[in-house]
Amino acid sequence: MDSSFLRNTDEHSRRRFLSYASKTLLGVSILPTMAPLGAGAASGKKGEAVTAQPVTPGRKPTARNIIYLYMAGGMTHVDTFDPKPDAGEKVAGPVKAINTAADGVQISEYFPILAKQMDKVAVIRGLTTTQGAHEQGNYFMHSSYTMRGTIQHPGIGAWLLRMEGKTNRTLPGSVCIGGGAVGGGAGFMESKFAPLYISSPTAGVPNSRSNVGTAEFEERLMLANKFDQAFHERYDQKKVRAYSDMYDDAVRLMKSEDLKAFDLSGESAEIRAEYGDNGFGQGCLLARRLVENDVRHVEVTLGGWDTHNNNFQAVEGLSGTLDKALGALLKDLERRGMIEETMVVLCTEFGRTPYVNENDGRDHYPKAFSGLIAGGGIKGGTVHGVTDETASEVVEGKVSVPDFNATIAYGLGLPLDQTIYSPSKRPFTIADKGQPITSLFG
Amino acid sequence: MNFRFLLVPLLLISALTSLRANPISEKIDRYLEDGYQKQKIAPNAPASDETIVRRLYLDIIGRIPTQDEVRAFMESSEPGKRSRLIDQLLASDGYASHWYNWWGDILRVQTGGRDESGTAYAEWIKKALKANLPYDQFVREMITAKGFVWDNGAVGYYVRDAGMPLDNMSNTAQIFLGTRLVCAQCHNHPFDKWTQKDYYQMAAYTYGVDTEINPRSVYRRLAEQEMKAGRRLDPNEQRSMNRLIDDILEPLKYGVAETERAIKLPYDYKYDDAKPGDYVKAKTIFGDRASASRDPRGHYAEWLTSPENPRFSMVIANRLWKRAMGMGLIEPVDDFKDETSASNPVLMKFLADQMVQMKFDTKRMLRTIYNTRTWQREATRTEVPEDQPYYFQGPLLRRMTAEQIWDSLCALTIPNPDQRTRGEGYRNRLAGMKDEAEQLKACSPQAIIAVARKYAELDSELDRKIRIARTRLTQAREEGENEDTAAAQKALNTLNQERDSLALKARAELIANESGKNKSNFVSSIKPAAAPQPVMMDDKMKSAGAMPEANADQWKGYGDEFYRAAELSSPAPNGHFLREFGQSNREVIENSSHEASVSQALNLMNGPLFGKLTQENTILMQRFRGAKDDEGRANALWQSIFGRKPTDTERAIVAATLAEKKQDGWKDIIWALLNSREFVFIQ
Repeated sequence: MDSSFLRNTDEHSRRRFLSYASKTLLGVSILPTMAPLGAGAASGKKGEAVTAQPVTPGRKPTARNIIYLYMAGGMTHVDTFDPKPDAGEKVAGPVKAINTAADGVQISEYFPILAKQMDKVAVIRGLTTTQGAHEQGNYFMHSSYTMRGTIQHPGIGAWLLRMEGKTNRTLPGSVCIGGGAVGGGAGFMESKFAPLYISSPTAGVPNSRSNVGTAEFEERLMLANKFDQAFHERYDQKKVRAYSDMYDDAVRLMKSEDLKAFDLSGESAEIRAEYGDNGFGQGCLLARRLVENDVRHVEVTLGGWDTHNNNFQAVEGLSGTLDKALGALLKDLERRGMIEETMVVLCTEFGRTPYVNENDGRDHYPKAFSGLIAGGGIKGGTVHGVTDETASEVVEGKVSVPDFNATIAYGLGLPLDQTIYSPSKRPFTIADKGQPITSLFG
Repeated sequence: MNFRFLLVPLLLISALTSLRANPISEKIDRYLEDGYQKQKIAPNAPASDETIVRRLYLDIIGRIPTQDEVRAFMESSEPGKRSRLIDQLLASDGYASHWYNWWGDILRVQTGGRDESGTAYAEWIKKALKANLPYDQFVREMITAKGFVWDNGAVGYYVRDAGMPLDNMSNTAQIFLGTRLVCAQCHNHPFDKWTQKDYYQMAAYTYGVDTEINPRSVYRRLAEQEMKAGRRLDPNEQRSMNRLIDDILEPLKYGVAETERAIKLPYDYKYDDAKPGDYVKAKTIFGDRASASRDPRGHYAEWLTSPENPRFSMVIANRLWKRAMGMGLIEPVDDFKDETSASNPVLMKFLADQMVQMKFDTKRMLRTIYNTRTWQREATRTEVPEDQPYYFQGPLLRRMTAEQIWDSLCALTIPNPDQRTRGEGYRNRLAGMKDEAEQLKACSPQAIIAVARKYAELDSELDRKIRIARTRLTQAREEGENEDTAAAQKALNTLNQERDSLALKARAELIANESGKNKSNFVSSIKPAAAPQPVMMDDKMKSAGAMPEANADQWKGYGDEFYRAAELSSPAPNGHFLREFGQSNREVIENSSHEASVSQALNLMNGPLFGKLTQENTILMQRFRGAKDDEGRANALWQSIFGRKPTDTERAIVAATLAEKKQDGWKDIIWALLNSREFVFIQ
C-alpha cells in the first residue's frame, strides 16, 4: 500500500533506525521470534499470545496458592503497620503501637489479634509507588504496569493461569471476592484466564443453581441438544463447539461436588464468627475453602480506606475487621497445615500523608507505604524496609510496586523473565522489570 | 467441477430478484468472483429470505426481528423487497442505537463522570449517526472539538483521554489511520518504520489541548488587581477568597480549550537527531501536507481526513466491510504497515476509492455492501482460519455481540424497544449545567470578587473554628472521654460541611444578584436561589425533550431494565448481562469479546431472564398466546426467536414433548430455544 502520501521525507533516518532498533532495542537474540509474530499477524484479536524463548526456568516454588487481600482506597501505613509512636500527635494521632509475637516488631494497637500471629508475617515497610490516584494506583498494584489508554495488562491471577493452567477441573482457576479491580483481570490475555467475580461471599456462584428440579433440568438440556443438532451439523466450527464446551463446563460446575467449596454453611458457627460476621471476614473464610479445593488465586477486597476525613474513627473500624479476618485466616491455615503452601498477601494502592490534615484525615501518599506477606515460604517475624521518623520517606530497603509483585511471583515459582506478547505484539513480563526481595525467603 | 456452471444460474437469479441492482454492488461482486476464479473456489449458495431477514435486522439495527416483522417480510411478494428493507432499516431509529455500540467500543466511550462529558459524547455520537454525518466530518469534528461539554459533545474525544495527550494521539492514529504508533512513544518502533521523533512530532499537533477549561486564571488576575486597590486582606482571608473563586467558577471548567503548551522530547531521549528536552515542532508522519500553523489542530484534522490520505479511507472501508462480513479484507483492521496487503487488493482499493467518491457517506457504503450478492449468500459453514486469506464466498458465521443479544432479548420482551430512550434526564442535567455556566459567564469579575470577598470572611472564620474544633477533639481523645470525643467529632463534621456548602451559597447568591441587572434570556427566567444548591432549570426546560405521556405508557408493567444497550451506562456495570457476554469495559480500543464463558451459560440456563421473558405481558408470550393451535404456537416461538418457522424435525420434537408433558412442555421448549446455539449466532 505504497503511495506518495504515505512517504515520509526523511527516508535516511528511517533506514538507520531500523538497523539500530534491531541491534540495540531488542537484542539480536530476539529477532528469530519475529517469524512466529509475523505469522500470527493476521489475528489482531484477543487471544493467542506468543512466547519468546529462551527463558530461564522458574525457581522451585515455595508457595502454591495465593490469597491476596486488597485494601481499596489507600490504607494508611502510619496507623497500621508502620506506626511512629514517637513522632508526636501531628503524625501518630491518638494511635499507639503494641508489641507482637515477633521480637522487635511493633504494629498499631488496632491489631491485637494479628499481633499474636506476626511471627508468620513479613512486614514490607519500604513500599513506594509512582501513582497517586486511586484507579491508576490500584491498576499499577495489580498489574505492575501503569495504566495506558492503549492496552490492558493482566493481573497476577491471569498470569498464574496463563503460565500453569487450572488445577481443579470444574472450579474456576481464579476468584475475586467483593471487588474486581481494574488491572486485576485477564487484560490482553484470553478471557478464560479472567477471574470469576463474586460480589457476596455468602451467595455462592451466581446462577449455579437450576430453577427447576434435576430431572426437568436434564430434560431441558436434552431438548436443547436435539434442537441444536442441525445447527451443529451445519456449522462444524471452533466457535460453535466452544459454546457447547462451555455449556458442558457450566453443567459440570453445577453438578460439581466441589461447588460446595462456595457454600459457607459448611463451616461451623464458631469459625464463621472467628473470621468476623462481615463481607470481608466471610470472604477470607471463602478464600481458604477455595484454596483447599485447588483454586490457586483468590483475591478479597476490603474497601473504605480513603480516609480524607475522620481518619482515626474510620481506620479503627476497618482495622477491627481486618484484624479479626486476617488473624483468623493465618491461624486457620496453620491449623490445617496449609500455611506453608499458601502465600497471604496484603496490599493497597498507596499510603496516606503522615501529617494529619485539617479534617482530621489523611490524604493520598504514594511515596511510602506498607504491605504484608505471610506464609508460602516467607520468613515470618521480619520487617523489610525502614521509613524515616515520620514515615514520610523510605530510607532503607525501597520496594517498588513491580518489586513487590516480583516477590509474589518468585514465591509462586513463576518465571520473571518469560515474555508474553499481547495480540498487538507488545512484550510483557509478569512483574515488568521488578526484582524479587529474595531475602524474605527462608 | 467447473464452478462457472454454478455461477451462471446464481447471476441469473440475482438479476431477476434484485431489480434495483446497484452498479457499485455489482462491481464488488465481480471483483470477488474474479477472486473465486483465481482461487478455484465456489461461492456459497444464496441465502433464503428467512436467513436474510434476521441477518438484516441484526446487522443494521442490532436486534432480531419480531414475529410481526418476519411475517411482513416473508409475506411480501414485492420485487426488490430486500433492498427496500435495507433502506427502511438504515433510516430507522434502531440504526443509531446499534452503530453507537460499535463506536462506543472503538472510541472507549465511558459515561458517568461528574462533568457529564461521557454522556454528552455518547449522545453526540448517536446524533451524528442518526443524521448520517459524513465520516470525514464526524472525525474532523472530534479532532477539532473545543468548547463546553453541553455545547459540543465531541469534546468527549479529548476528555476521554484527559491527562494522557500522548495516548490520545496514538489512539487517533490507530483508530482512523490503522497505524500503530504506540511503541514509538518510548523508543523507535521495533516492527514498523516510526521513530520516537515521528511520534512526538505527531503529538505536537494536539499537545496544546487542555481537557479542562480554565476561566479562573483570568479572574484570579482581576482579583489580585482589585485587591491592590482595596483594603488589604490578611493571608488567611486571601487564601479563602482564592479558594472560593475557584469553587464558584467550577461549572465553567467542563470542556476543552486550546493552549499554547508546547511538547518536548522526553528526558531519556537517546537518538542522535535531537537532544532530550528539545522542543518538537508538529509534523505529520507521512504525506507532509500539513504544516503546523496558528491552527495546528485544524491542519492535523484536514491532513488526517483528506481524500488523498489513503489510509483514512481504506481503514473505514475495511472496518465497514468487516462489520458486514465478519472479517476484514485486511486483518487486523488497525495495524496497517507499508507491506500490508488485502486478501483482495483490487476490491480493497475499490472500496476505499468508493468511500471517497461517496463523500464518506457511511450509510450509502453499507447499503452498497448489503445489496451485494456476496453479502446475501449463506454464511460459510466450514472453519475460516484467522491467519489465512479468506476470499469471501459469503459472510462468516458470527456470534452476536453482547449488545445484539441483549437488544434481542429486549425485542422479545417490550414493545417498540428502539423508541425507548433514556436521554431526558441527561438532557435536563446538561441544560441545567449550561444554564448555570451561562449565568456565571454573564457575571462581572467585580461581582465575582465582591461575593468571594464577602464569603471569604465567613470562610476564614469557619476555618478558624475548625482549627479550634480539631484541637478540642484531640484533647477529648487524650482524656479518653468517649462522650466528649463523639461530641467533638460531630461538631467538627458540622463545621466541615458548612464550609463545603459555602461556595455553593456564594455561587447562588452571585447568580441571584446579577440576574437582576442582567436582561439575558437565561437569567430572567431564574428565581433567586434560596437553597444552597446549583441552580437547575425552569419548568419549560424540564418539559423540553420529555416524551409524550401516552408514548411512555406502552412500557408500563415491563421491567425498568429493558432498555437497549445504547441507553444504559457505558460500559454496563460489572456483572451485568452485557458484561458477562463480552461487552467491552471501554478501557481499550475494541475490547469487546465474543468468546464463550461458563458464566454466560449459567446466566442463560439459570439466570432471571428466562422468568422475565415468559411473563404474561412480554411480546414473545403475547404472540404465543395469540396463536390458535400448537402449530401456530410453535411458529410464534420459532419466528420470534430464530426468524423462521420450525423444520419438520423440530415439529416432531415439539409434538413428542407435548405428548408427554402436555402444555407444560412449552416452557421447556422456550428454555431450550433460548439456550440453543442458533439463538446467539448470526447466520
